[in-house]
Amino acid sequence: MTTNIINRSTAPETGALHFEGFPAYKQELINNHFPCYSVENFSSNVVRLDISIPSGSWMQSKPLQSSSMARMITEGTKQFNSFQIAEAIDFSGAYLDVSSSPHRTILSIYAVKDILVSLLPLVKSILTEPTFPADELKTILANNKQEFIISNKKVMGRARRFFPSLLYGNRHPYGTVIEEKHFDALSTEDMQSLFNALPLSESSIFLGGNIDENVMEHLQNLFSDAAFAKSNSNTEQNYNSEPSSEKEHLITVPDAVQSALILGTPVVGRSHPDFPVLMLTNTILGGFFGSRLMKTIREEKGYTYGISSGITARAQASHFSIQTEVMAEVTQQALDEIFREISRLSVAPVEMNELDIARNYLFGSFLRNMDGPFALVERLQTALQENLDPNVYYSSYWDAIAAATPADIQHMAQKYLIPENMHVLIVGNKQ
Amino acid sequence: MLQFEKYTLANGLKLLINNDKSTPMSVVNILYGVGARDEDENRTGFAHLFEHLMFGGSINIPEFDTPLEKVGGENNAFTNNDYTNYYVTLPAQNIETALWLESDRMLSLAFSEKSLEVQRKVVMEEFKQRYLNQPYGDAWLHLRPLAFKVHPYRWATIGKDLSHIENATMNDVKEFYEKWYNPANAIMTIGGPLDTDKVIQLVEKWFGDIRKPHQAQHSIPQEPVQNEKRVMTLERDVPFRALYQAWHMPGRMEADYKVCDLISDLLSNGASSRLYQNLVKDKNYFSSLNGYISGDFDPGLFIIQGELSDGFHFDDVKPAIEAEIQQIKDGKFSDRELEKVKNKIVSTFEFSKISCLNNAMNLSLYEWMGDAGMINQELEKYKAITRDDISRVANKIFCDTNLSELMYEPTK
Repeated sequence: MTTNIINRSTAPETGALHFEGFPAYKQELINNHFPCYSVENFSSNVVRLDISIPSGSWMQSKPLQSSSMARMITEGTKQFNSFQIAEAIDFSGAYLDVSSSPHRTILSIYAVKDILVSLLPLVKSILTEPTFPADELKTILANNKQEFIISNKKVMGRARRFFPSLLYGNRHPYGTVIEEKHFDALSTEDMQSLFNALPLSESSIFLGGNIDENVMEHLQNLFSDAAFAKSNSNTEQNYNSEPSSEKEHLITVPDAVQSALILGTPVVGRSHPDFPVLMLTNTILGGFFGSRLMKTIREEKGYTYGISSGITARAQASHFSIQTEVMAEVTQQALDEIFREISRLSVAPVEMNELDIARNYLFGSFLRNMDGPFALVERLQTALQENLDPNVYYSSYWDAIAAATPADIQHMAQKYLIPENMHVLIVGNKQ
Repeated sequence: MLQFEKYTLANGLKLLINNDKSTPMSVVNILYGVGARDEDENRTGFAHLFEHLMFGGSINIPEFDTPLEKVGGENNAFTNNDYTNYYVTLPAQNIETALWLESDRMLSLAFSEKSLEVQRKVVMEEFKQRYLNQPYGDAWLHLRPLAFKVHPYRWATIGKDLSHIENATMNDVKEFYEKWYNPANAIMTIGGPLDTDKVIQLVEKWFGDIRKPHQAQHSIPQEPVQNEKRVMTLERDVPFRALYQAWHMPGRMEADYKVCDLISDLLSNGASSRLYQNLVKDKNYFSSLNGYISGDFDPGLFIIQGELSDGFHFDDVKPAIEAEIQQIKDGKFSDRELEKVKNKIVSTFEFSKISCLNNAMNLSLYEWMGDAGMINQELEKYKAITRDDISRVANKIFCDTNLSELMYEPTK
C-alpha cells in the first residue's frame, strides 16, 4: 500500500561505496616448496583449482608454440589417451582448461567439491607425462587454422590480431601477428621441447570455493612427483618494442559495410603509481556505457553499435587502446570524433559530476570483480603474477581512485593519451 | 534447491525474492513477457529496437544509465523471440536506486524523437556487425524462414531486414509500449543479501501505484507440421563450406523438450561427445561441429551446425551425421554415456547457482513459463529420462520430412 506521494524526479538516498581491503585468504607451502593460495567459501557446492606455471609465448621459439602446447597437453599422456581424458572430465561433470598467455601457462579445473580429488591423478599425468601424439596434433592444428581463417575474415578479428604489431613490432612476443603458415610449421618435437623447458618447480597453486579438507593431502602427493622438481632450463630472453614508424595503417576490405578501428599507445602498467588514475581516465574516455566515446560515437552520432577503450596491462609492457566497428561511410568522421574526444581530455579538466559518475562506476565494477571465491582467485593471480601484494595493491588502487581530482585526470591525459602518439589501424573501407 | 519467496502486487506485478547472503551485490531483474514472436510481420525487429529505447529516458528521469553508474551499478538487457529481459547489478546498499529507475520506465517513457532517431541507427549498425559483416553471419536470416513458414520464429530478433527498423515511427513505439509494458506483464526478481520485508516495502513504494491495464494477449500462429525436406544453398564469400541442419522439436513445456536437450548433449556436449570425437577428430570431416537446441518456448529447432574441413564436400559428410543420428535412434549408447550427460546437467546446475544474476534471470524465466518452483524439479525430470525415451524422440524428430538444411558454398 502506498500512502505517500513519492517524488520520482529525485534519486533515493544512497550509501557511499567502500572497500574493506582484500578479503582473507590462506597462504601455505605444499611440500615446503609450492606456494598455495586459497579462498574458502562454503556457500556453494563447487570448487576451482588453478596450477599456474611461469611460462608462455615469451619463452617460445616459434609463433603458436606455447598456446599449442597448452592445448595439446590434454590430448594424450603415457597413461591416458585423448578420449579417456575428455571422458573422465565430462563424466565427472567437471571443466578442464589449459590456457596460455605471454608469461603463464595455467591449468584450471572447476568441479563439484567431492569430485576434485578424484581428478588429481589425471592432472598429474597431464602435467608430468604428456605424449603430444602426432595425429592429434595434426587434427587440432588443422582445425585451429580453419578457425583462424574464418575469424580473420571478420574486420575486428583481423584488426585485433594485427594491431599489437604496430606498437611492439612483429618480433616481440606481444606483437607477433599470426599467419596461416604458422599452423603448418609446428611439430610434436616443438611441443615436447617447450614442455621440457616448463619450469614446473615454480608452479603456484590457487584454490577457491568449497575446498575439501582432504585436498591438501592429495596436492602434496601430486607435487611430490619428481617431474615437479624440474626448473627452468631456458634463459629468459629480452625483447624490445619496435613500434611502427607509420602512424596510420589501412587494410582495405573492399566489400566491408563496417570498418574496424583500433587506436592505441603504450602506457604504464599495474606496478606504476599512475596506473589507478590512468584507469579512471580510461573509464571516462571509453571504459563504460556512459563514457565520452560511447556518448559521442554511439549515442550522439549513431555511427556504431559500440565503442570502448581499455588498458592491456602486462608484466613487460602495457598499452591503452580504443576499438570500434563503424559504418564504413563514416570511417573518417568517426576517427576525427575519436581524436577530438582524446584531445578534449587534455585541454580541459572534467566536471566533478562526470568524474564522480566514472569513479563510482569503476568502484562498482571493482567490487563486482571481487565478488565470490572464483573471482578472488583471479584477482590474487593478477597481483601475484606481477609480484604485487594483493593486500597492498588493491587497497592503494582504490584509495588512489578515491582521491583523484579533475586536475589529476587532465594530467594523466596530457602525459599518456597524446593524440600524435596514437597508432591507428583501419580494417575495412576508408573512402 | 534454489530458495525464493513470491509476492504479487495489487497491480499484477509479480515479485520473486532470492535471498543470497554470500554476495555484497544485489540484482534487480525484470522480464517483460514480449518478444519478437509478438511482432507484426511487417514491423519485425520491433521488440529489440524497443529494448534500446528503454534506455532513452523515462517520464521523470532524463537518463537511465547515469544515476545507476553513479551508485556503482551496471545494467544491460536482451531480447529474444519470446521475452525481453532487463537486469541491474549494484552494491546492495543502493538497491533503491535500481527500483526508482526501473519503476519510472515501467510508469512511462520520455518518448524522445532524438532517442528513436539515434537508436534506429545504432540497431542498424548492430545488424551489420552481427549479420552482414562476418562470414556465415546471415545464416539465421535464411534458416529461420526456411524452417518456419507460419510461426513468427521465421524472423530473427533483429528483424527481417533493415527497412523495418528504418521505418519505425514514434507512433509504433507508443502503441507497443502501451500494449506490453505494464506491471501485469512483468516479472521482477530481486537477489542479494536483503531483508525480504524491506524489499517488499521498497517495491510497493516504487511500483505499487503504477496502474496500467493489461489486456494484451499473445496471438501466435502455430507452425503446421512440415512434410517435405527443405534445402537451401547460399553462395557467399566464405572460406569454407558450412552446413546447418534444423529439425522441428517440442516446445519448452513439453516433456520431450528435455529429451532433446539430452540428445544434443550425447551428440555434442564436451570434448568426449560423439560428433566431436567421431566427425571432428577421428574423421576430420569438420573443423567444428555442434548439436544444440534453440531453447524456444513454442516448438523450436534442434540444430546441427558445422564448418567442413577444407577439401570435403557435403555429400562426403552428410551420411556420417546421419549415421551418428541413427545410433541415437537405435539406442546404441552405453549406460555410462547416459549417466555422463545427466551428471553434466547436475553440475551445470550447480555452477549456474553460484551467480546471483543467473539465479534471478532463471527465476523470472520459470515464473514466466508458469511457475518459478519448476526450477527445483528440473534435475529430477532429467534424471528420469530413459534410453527408450531418447530412442523414441530421436525417431520422431530426425526424419527428412522434418528437416531444413542450409549450406554455404564458397564463391572463391
